Amino acid sequence: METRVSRTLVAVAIALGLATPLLHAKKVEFPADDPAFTFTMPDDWTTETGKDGRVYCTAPAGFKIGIIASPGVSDADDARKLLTTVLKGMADAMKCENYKSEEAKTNELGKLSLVSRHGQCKSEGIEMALNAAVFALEPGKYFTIVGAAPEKVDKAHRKEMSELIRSIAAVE
Amino acid sequence: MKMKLLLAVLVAAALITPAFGKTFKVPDETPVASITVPDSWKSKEIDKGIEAQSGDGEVYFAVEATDAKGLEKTIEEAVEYLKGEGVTVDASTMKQTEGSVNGMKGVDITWNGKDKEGAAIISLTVLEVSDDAALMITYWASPEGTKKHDKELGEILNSIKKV
Repeated sequence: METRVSRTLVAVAIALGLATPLLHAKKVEFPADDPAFTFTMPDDWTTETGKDGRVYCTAPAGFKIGIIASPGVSDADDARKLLTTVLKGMADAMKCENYKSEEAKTNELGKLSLVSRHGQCKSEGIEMALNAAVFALEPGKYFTIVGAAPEKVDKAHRKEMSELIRSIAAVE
Repeated sequence: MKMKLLLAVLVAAALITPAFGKTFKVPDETPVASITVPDSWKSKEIDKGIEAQSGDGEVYFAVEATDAKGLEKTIEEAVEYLKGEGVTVDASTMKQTEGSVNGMKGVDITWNGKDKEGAAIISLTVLEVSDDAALMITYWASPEGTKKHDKELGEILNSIKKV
């Protein structure tokens, strides 16, 4: 159970809860035009802003995540349905084989309420990790973080992702 | 592989925020707020905002900009509009709730009532955009329409933002 949980973004965040904060991190506001929250990410990561204020963060090794406002989500049940759709959508986009996913998990992380789900599949012979987490900083206002990467790359970035999620703070 | 990963993230983003609708400024010329209405709804700009009706005609709402001085008049006009449409309210059913939408404090008053087609739900909501600007939302729908469009209405409400 411990192993399975540790594969999720949330569990990693919790498992590394006592890790020291990133020494070099930059703060990002989301969305840029009317910030609802801020988060920090390593200095060497870059951001791009997309449609509807989406933010894509990319690490030097190519590890990429998307942060997206989720107006269609109004409660945890909606979040679970969305995660199912999103993980399958990512697997399909990569023409994955052997797609499988774990059950969605719900966690509280400080003031953050998260529902997360982890999936796995194989693309071009490479084991892939698919992660998505929906969170709310206040009731009814949801956001989603998604990421897809080769398992090895995903594992190498778990600590950074943990720090990023832990740094999420509402803009007062 | 990098292209596939990028594609996966882009697809995920598109699944999370599918094209929801058209965004209006309220009011159009000197906007204090914006609102997004699904494409399947009939929407049009009015004097100080917009009005919209669900595709099945079961839900109507209008969002108008006003200010402290003009609020009373805006409410009177909304009530007159509803009366003109044959809407009556049962005063004993009045419920007042306070809350906030995207940082804007608001007060909502809801009644059960009737219109020409039967039972209706009517509400007037005032959102404080700033010290001297507010939005008034007039809502009129059948109970069935309210239930059926509940999710869209939540998305519409969450789309209201200060500009």
